[in-house]
Amino acid sequence: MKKFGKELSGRRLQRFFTRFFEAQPDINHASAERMARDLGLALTALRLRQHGLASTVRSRQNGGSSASSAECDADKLQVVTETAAPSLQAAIPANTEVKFNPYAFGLVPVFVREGPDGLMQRLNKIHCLDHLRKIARAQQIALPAEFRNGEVAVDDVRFAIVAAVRKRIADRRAAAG
Amino acid sequence: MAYFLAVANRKGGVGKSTVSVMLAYAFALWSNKKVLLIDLDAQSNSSLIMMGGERWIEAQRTSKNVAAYIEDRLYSIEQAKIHNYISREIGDVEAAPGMLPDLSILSGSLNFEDMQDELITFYSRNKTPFQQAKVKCAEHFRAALSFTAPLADIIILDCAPGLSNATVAALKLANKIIVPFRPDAVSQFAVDRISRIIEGGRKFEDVIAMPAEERRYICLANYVRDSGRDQIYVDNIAVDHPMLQTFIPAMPAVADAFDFLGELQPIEEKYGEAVYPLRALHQELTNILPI
Repeated sequence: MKKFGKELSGRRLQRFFTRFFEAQPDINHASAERMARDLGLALTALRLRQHGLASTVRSRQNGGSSASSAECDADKLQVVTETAAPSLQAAIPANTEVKFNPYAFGLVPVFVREGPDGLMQRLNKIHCLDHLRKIARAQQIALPAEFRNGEVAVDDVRFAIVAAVRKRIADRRAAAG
Repeated sequence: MAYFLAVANRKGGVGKSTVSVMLAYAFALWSNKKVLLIDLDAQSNSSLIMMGGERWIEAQRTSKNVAAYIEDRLYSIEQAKIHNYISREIGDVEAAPGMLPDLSILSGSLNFEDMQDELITFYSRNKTPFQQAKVKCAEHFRAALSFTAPLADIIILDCAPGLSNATVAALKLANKIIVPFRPDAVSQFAVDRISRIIEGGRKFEDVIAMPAEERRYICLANYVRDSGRDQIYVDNIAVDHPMLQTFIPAMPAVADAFDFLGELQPIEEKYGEAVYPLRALHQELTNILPI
């Protein structure tokens, strides 16, 4: 859907509400301003409460895969239910149409904190070749060309990701040195 | 004794002035502290946000700015009393209806970069080696800035991008340095590099081996969009650097607050929905800093 204008917030939002209330019968300017301020604060609080929920929901909507194998479908639900906030996990129905989230965990942080074996364990939970490629691409981890396309062993892609993450960290630290 | 809090990053456009101004308001309003903001950036963005154009121009005309102060200290120390260069009662946020918070500024100046060149020329006289002159120059800045200590409880040093002598001095003087960054690839390199400078030029491996609580800096993610990608970049930086749990989301209300309206308003009105992350940031800093 086309976005037509800038989202109202702050003073603009309050002015909008004030004008709205002033247009109502029996509401004077002072009352309109007070109600606009209160409503603006309530709306802001509501937006921010939704912010955390929205990020989880949006991440479920992004990064979809065209693959339809059983492995790919299994990855989708597993990663979503693992990464959703505990309060949300119960709310995700078993048959929810969800998509693979390539940001479910950070490849670099897992490598640094849990080592290559820890990262490999996480990658072992992803069974779909397309999803492994997707998580690497999304997190700017460059795989050698032979692993980016075509049919290759899933295990080989996992090893390639671990090697590429190691290279990425070394590259960054070299630049800092 | 004043607490010096620097806001610095060599990279531009990461939100140094935005964060400096937000913190100035937050400590003045919610901690009831006397706050002095020092604008060390020739762009003078935080000065313009806090004073508006007309008052900032007046501060330039009357030499009530950081460039004039530093220069006057060079040539006539006796006359260069710091309080003569400060603009008081600034901002457009009220502490209580019709009442200003205790907030002052040593405003920025477009001449600040020229003045730094002048300073280095001064210290390079008599064939003094350049590196030695740079050290003297940074020391001149550090001493000049330290004279502001009696003026406030909290002194916020809004550093310019890059690594001028003034920024080096601010980094040395500060009790704590907040490093704002935007979640992207180049910001990672920028944070890595400034961490080494802050920690006295140590090797990067040595810096990241230091316990987080012993480091003089802490990172703050700014302009974070509601996407997994941004969160991954923040997590990647947090692997090696201390990170505030609070982040500033990308929201129009933050940019709206750059406008100096000249009329006093509650902070909730000025910052709109951005007041919530600001409150969270203030709360977290109050918990971890001895303020």
